[in-house]
Amino acid sequence: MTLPIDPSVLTSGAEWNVGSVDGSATGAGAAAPTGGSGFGSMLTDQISKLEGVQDDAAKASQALATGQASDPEAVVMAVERARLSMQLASTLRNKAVEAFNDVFHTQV
Amino acid sequence: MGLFDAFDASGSGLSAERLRMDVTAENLANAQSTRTANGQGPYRRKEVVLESADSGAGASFADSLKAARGVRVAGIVEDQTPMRRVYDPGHPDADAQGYVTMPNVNTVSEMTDLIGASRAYEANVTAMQTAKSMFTRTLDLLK
Repeated sequence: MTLPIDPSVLTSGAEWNVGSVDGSATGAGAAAPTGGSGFGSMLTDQISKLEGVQDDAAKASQALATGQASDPEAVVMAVERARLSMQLASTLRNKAVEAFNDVFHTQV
Repeated sequence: MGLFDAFDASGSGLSAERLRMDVTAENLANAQSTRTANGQGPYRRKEVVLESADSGAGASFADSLKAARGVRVAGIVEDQTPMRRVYDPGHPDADAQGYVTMPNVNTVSEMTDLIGASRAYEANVTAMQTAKSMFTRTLDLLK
């Protein structure tokens, strides 16, 4: 069972206020979820793009393997693009997880 | 300027150089062809004309950065230099004086074209590899 947090605790203590984000927030306690837009949707968008690039690379490789590709450069470029996009995504993911772990391992 | 614009430019270069290689190979293969499929005269040497695929001189700097650049094939044209005439009375395509009109393909210059296309292809591959390693080095900053 989770205990309800006393709102007075959240708004008191001016030293913990990091400033408002969008003008309406008055402190850490007022940082309510502000809709689906922003970082979350950007992430979803980028991941779906990444999936498209991977799909293109897979199709191009298959066409090359079955002898239907007339342009080997296009296949190589699709595969390289997919590889670099995946590398970028995984590096960003590792960095995000690292930051997350840093937060969790903060000594209090 | 997108992440992969250098890739696209180098890729178009690769395709263009491969087409040059294809056309040069065709020229070499037909260096002795005295007949063509449409029945008129010997084979004429073919040449690839390439053009830059940028947005042109009139475009603003911002537009020229946005546009996907590279090279594109303007067309394949026939070389209009005169044909070689070789004295060979026994040849079935010899004229009344015993001369055969041979293609205007110079094998030596085709070989240099071949080397040029091959080296230009390598240059594009190197540019692509460099763009790739720059990208990877940037990612290494995050590690």
